[in-house]
Amino acid sequence: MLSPLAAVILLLFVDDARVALVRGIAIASTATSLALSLYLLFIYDKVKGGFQFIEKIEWVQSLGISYHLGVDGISVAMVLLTSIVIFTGVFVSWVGIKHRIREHYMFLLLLVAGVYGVFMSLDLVFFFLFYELAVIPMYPLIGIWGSANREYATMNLTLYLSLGAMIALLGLLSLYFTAGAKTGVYTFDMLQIASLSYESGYQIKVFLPLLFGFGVLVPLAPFHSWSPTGHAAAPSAVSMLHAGVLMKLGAYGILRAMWILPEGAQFWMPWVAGLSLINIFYGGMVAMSRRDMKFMIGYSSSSHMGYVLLGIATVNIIGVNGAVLLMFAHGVMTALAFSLIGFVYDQAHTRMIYDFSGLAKKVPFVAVAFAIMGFASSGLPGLANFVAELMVFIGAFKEYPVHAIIAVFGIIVTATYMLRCMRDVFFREPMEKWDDLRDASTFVERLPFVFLIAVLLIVGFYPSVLVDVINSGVVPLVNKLNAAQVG
Amino acid sequence: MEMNLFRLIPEFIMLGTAFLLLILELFLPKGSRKAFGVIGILGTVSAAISLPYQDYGLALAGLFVQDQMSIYFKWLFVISSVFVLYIVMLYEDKINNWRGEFYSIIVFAISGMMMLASTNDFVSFYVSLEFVAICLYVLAAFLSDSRVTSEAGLKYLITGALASGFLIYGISFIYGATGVTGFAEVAKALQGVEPTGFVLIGIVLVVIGLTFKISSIPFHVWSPDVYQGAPTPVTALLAAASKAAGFVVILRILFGALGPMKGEWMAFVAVISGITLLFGNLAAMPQKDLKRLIGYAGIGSAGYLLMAVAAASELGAGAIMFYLLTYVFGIIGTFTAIVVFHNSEGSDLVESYAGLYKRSPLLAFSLFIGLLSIAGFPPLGGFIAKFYIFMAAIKEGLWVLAVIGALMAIVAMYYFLLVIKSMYLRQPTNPAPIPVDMTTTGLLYFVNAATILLGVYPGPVTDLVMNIAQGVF
Repeated sequence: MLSPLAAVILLLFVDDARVALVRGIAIASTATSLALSLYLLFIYDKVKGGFQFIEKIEWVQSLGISYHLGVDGISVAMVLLTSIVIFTGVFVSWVGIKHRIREHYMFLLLLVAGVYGVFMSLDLVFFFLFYELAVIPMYPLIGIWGSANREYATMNLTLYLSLGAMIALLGLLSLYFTAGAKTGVYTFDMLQIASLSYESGYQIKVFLPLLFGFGVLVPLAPFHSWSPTGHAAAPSAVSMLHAGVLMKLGAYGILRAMWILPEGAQFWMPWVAGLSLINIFYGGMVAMSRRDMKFMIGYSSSSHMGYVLLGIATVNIIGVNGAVLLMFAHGVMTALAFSLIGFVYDQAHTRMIYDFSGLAKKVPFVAVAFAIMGFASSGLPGLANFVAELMVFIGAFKEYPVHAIIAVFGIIVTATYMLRCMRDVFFREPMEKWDDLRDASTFVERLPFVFLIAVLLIVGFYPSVLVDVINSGVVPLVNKLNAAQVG
Repeated sequence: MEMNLFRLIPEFIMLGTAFLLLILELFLPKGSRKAFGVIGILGTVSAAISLPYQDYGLALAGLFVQDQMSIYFKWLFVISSVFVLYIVMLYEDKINNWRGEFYSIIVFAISGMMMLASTNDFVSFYVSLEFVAICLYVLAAFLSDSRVTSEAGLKYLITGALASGFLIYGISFIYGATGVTGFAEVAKALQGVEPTGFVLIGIVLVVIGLTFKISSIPFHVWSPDVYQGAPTPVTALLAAASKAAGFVVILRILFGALGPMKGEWMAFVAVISGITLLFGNLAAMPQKDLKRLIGYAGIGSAGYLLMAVAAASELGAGAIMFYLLTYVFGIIGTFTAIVVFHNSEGSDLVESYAGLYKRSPLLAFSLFIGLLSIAGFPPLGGFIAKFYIFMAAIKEGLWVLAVIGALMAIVAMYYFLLVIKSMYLRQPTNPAPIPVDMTTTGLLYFVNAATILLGVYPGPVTDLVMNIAQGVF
């Protein structure tokens, strides 16, 4: 999993002009990661569950910090998602990024190294360090290679996310001292900290900064304003990573916080369920009103993350499973959406829906891919999102029937803006000014689209390939939470 | 009465070097300015070589003490000294009516700071402090033909003198209450005693007097003007070494001598820390001049360090020592780059740094690493330092202070990112590359590597400072 980091170091020494070599290193490293993640998916022992492949190296002995990695079922799925998105992202950048290529790949891979780190760390300090490592490269990535309004967007995003991180850090530190005071051994080891039980009053208090801190990244309403502007200004590969993977870090963080503080989680989850509805509808409504396609997808991501939060808030096995699967499916789907929009934008230099018409005649391949993405986003059967959303709804009906019924209508909102966007952009009468628009025809251009669609289909028709692994991580988590409710 | 003069050998070497420079000034021809810098650096290096051979114990009949902490801080001063002297060599062409004393006064100031690191008595403390202060007053106003510099020097002198007054007045109260001046004796006399009004007044006055050196509220006003107006190497000296000297004294006096009274001063320091954090960081936001910006940011840093002081624990003391080490490296990297840039462009304005990454990738990278380390971005050394400070604060339950600190860390990111933005996201107005000579290149690589290394592998240094911190009370 260190392969992106190794590539960053290699890239430091490569000459700027040797573009082919730079791309070669980036592709080799991400392909390695992808292969390793797939391998991980198959060798992970689903029956045994729990954390496996644990690595531990002492880092700061006097304070009990260690480099401690390991994966459970949830992390396996997230690691795989990250690998898929970055692998395709490298190809998308191949087409889209024209200047300062080497630096672009360096920051991109640095970000991904941070993401892998978050999904795998079992030490709170490293969890936080990797989390920041995943956020900070966004600043140059958007600031240098972004489009309109990039300087504002990148500052807004960096400060917002760092604020969330700092607040979460205070909560984590409090955990460290409380846990240390209980056992007498001060350690940032997550397994150790999670194995203790805390007074419910304390749990409720400390869960709040963690929820806020990670919630900003999800983005939990009303702390989402950084996200659509960030999406809109970022270059394609970064939008893909941002919406596809980075937002999932927040949800993952919340899951981990729930695992450590079950009673605190039980206390706050009804609130999260309520806020998730705001996410679903507010995001959806704003998406409907947007004319910029990236803004539309950006708000639609907030809306979809609302379903994820709803699934998490159910705290039952099927709901949480659905949430994690939806994180995966949505990540792949959004990556597809941003790569397609980026492809069109790089040629047309506009993303306004009203600027386009009848593109399907000119770029049939892109149009088909976009249609599949739109169907996935609206939750049509046969694609991964359908399975995931279905699980979320089933889970939600058990816990919050009213919320679930309202949330189902969110799908109609999604379908409305997705279908309308498709109609306006790709169908109707073709416009003359787009006559010279080129379809995705080379291998490099098509590979990411085909690959992402294939993943959506595979998981859509055969979800158990992932669900079994996710389930092995979810079951102990949910059991712990339910035990806390009774106790 | 044991004298044990050998425990002051590092100080003697520094003093000897300074005197040698003064004498050589008479003999060496005008054209050989750089030789002074080289001699100063060689003297500092020989003082550094003597450091590992020092044993622990008292010197000059208990006026000074050599222990792990003093050695640690002397290393900090030695490192700062070498780099500051080197920056002077880069800078000195700027000084019109140049005199050889510039080097020797810097060496004098460093030797004074080394004495401060070893003080074990209010008398030796005050004498060493004034020795350093007088050197710095002269240095701050060294460009006597520049109005800005003269103004800076005057402000520094006046606030400094006022702060010294507070300090000596406070010390006399403490002496009045305890009848002794040695730190260890004062601590013994205050052990288990109900605090009287005399002691409390003494503590308040001493704490206020100490805020001058570390540029925190209420004696912070000199800092932005002096940072901006003083010769740049002097600014680096003030920012790095002088701040470290201020905190070693705080560790010795508040933690050491007044440690038994910590229940009385913790809340007071916490309030000072909170106001300093807010003021320094918020006032830094609109600054246009990079040196002035760092001046305000330096006030903010003092706020963070005071947060660790307010925690009044071993962890806090360790955090302070770690922070200062990363801070020294961050400041040195930043100021070396500023001097090289100024030599070429003649400006310190943030906007003149536009597009620096194209003109000199190394300078831009050094500023990037230095500033972000001070701002506390992971995975740089400054982040780990801030992290420890937050740990110390939360351990003692200083939640309000920790939240202020967290918010201000975001503010600090904002104004440092403005500089980064100018360097990396803007296009240069004048695309001519800025040359950086070989030695400077090497030094900058070294400093950047140190900052990154402290961030990604903080283990050994952390273990060291936490070990030193065990004996601080």
